[in-house]
Amino acid sequence: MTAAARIEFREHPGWGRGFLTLAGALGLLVLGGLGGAHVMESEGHWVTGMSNRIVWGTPHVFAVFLIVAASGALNVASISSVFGRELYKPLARLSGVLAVSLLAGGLAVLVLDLGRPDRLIVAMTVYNFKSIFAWNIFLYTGFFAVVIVYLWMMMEKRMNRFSKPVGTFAFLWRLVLTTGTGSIFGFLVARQAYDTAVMAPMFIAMSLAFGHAIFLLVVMAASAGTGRPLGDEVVRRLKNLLGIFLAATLYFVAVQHLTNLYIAERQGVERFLLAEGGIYTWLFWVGHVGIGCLVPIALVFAPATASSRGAAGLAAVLAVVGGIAQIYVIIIGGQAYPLVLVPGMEAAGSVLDAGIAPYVPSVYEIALGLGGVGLALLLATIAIKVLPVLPESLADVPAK
Amino acid sequence: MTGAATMELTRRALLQGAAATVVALAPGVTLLLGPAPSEARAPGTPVSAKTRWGLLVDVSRYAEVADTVVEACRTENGWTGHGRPLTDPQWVRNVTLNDPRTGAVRTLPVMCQHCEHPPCVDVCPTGASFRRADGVVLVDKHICIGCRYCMMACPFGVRFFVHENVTGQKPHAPRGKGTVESCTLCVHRLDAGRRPACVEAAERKSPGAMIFGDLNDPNSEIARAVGRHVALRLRADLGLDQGVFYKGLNG
Amino acid sequence: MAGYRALVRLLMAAVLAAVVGTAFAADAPRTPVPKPPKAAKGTECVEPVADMRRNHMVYLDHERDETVHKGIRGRKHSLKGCVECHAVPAAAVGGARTVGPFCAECHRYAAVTIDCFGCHATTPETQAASAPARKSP
Repeated sequence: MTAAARIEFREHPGWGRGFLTLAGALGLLVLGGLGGAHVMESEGHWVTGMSNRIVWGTPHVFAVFLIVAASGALNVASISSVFGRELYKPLARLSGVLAVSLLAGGLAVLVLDLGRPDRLIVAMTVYNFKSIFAWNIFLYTGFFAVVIVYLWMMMEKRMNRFSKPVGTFAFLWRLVLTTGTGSIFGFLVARQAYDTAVMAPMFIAMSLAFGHAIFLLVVMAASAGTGRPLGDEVVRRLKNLLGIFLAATLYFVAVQHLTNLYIAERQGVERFLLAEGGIYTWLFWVGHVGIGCLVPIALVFAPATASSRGAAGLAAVLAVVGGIAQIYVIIIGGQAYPLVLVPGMEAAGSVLDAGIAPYVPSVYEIALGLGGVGLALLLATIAIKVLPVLPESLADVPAK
Repeated sequence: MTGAATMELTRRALLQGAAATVVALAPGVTLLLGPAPSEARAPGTPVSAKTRWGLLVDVSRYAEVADTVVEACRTENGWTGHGRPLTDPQWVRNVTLNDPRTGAVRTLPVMCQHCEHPPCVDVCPTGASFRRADGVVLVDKHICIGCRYCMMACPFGVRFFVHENVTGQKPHAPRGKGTVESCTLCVHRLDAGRRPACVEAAERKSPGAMIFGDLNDPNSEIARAVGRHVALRLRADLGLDQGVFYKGLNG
Repeated sequence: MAGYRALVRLLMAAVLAAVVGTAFAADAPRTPVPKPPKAAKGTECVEPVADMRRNHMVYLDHERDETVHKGIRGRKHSLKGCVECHAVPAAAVGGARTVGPFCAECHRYAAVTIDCFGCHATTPETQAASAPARKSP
């Protein structure tokens, strides 16, 4: 067996105009996010679209999306370290960096939306371990440490032999973390749109899909931006995985809704989400199922587009858009449906009980959410520039 | 015995007998009058699980006191609205339930149900949402980070996020922006041996519309009423074992 | 290399000058020493003043947990007790008694944010100026 060629990783030297423009634009997004958070915190949440009925809004949609994607973005590194696939080895460092930066962006949005973000230290030191949310806070902060150690194992030559055990630990940590994120909703008995065990595996599938989509887009952009070759084989493998994970997501979503349709008491909420929910129905069928899953799967596997790099990039973009739509439906659609106080009776008398809860995202929430996206991409951009995480070449290695 | 001594003895005996009678009868008299529903504990003693506070609403009598109850709670605890019904708190709110099959309409108050197994307590990441030993579910606003997960978890929608700056709070009911709040069962009153403001206000207008007491005391009015009548709880299927009961919910 | 060493020396000299210079500026009355308003006449704090200044948060933190979680009220170190005595008439609120000016004096000087009065009332339960120094339970 021929010795594997040594992979050269390199920073990106120089302060080119492209880099400064990109960093500047992302920095502006971050500033916008901080501004939105400042207004929300000083005035109070009444300036947002959130209320006592729609308790978690657009910031949470972005935060959950980024956090779920962060977990999945590490998958490429896992495939190389844990499952020993050599092709993915050059991508492993970027995978770790992206996981950390996406998580940082998501957590920043989550923390800044808190009613008392000044009590972050309390949140990180005082735990009620019966709460899955508490577990998640613990798992997220731990994830930073685990991935940074994992990156160190991969980047320090003398530590390379530990890549596999640390990578396995990171892989298992990810599974627990994403199960926990899905269970934040799955454990809630109060709302009929949640309260299901299938949320956990659904979020795992979602994480793999979103993570791969974002990873593919970042690899394409980084290679183009740094002028390094990107071969078809890498794109092909990544997009195929994306297609498979989108199909898995669709499977779990189908199982959830079909099961709920079978349960008489849940037919009301299903009718709302799938047919009569206005924006939520539209986002579910067109945004999530159509644009987010079926079209990208077709682009990935259909013979006409399977070998097109442009189609692969488009599939990734659509998967991201559809993913945000899906999380919007889950988080906000799930809250919009009224609570059942006495089964069989209709409640009236207060906007807190009657009817579908109204929600219009405010500019502050959108700014905060986009600020998180900006932070994640800015951190990744800076890391790619100053750290040797991007390989010199991802060109196809000719088969021997 | 001389006459005077006999009279002395008799007077002494009478006084002693009277004293003995009073001592013998006094506990019984106290029992007849009944202890205050929330007797003040000795100062410095913590609450204990020996007590379990409960509320019983007679739905058939509630409609006439509905507005009084909400107003009493608002005045006592100082939660004001800002003309924004979706973000304003309503520690207790009146809900009209309509049965679509029969057209029957009932009005009942919905407030924190003070569950034995509160979902809001389970999900709070910092433990700010907690259940006091005597059954009152509260928010420790010193460690509440305002994540609103408890509001997602509550099946009754009775937790409220304070969406704006607050001034002019009542000294006995602190509340502030960025934390979550809910009906406290007027713990500041309970700890002083009094009853919640809503119960007192309802009683003045329609006695028996709302009963408050110790569910663990078999002699209390509420324990006997809950045992005697069919008193249902909202969403009993969830198994939360609430402290708030509704009589006449189903006719 | 020699030029680099000279630059470092220059910087160190500048820092030294700045530090020494500000020591002489301490006499100038730029940082006003706090003068918290006196509490109600004839009252005495529940702890010695020096002890209170240093430890009031320790007392408050401990008793707040006892109050909130165990329902024990009216103890020596309650926040409501502090407000009862230390609230002073303030023009900003139309002459009503409020504890804001008292706490703010020292806290502004020490640059320590007060978290209490976002939630807790700054006014005592009774507006009367005389309140007993030690509240009976």
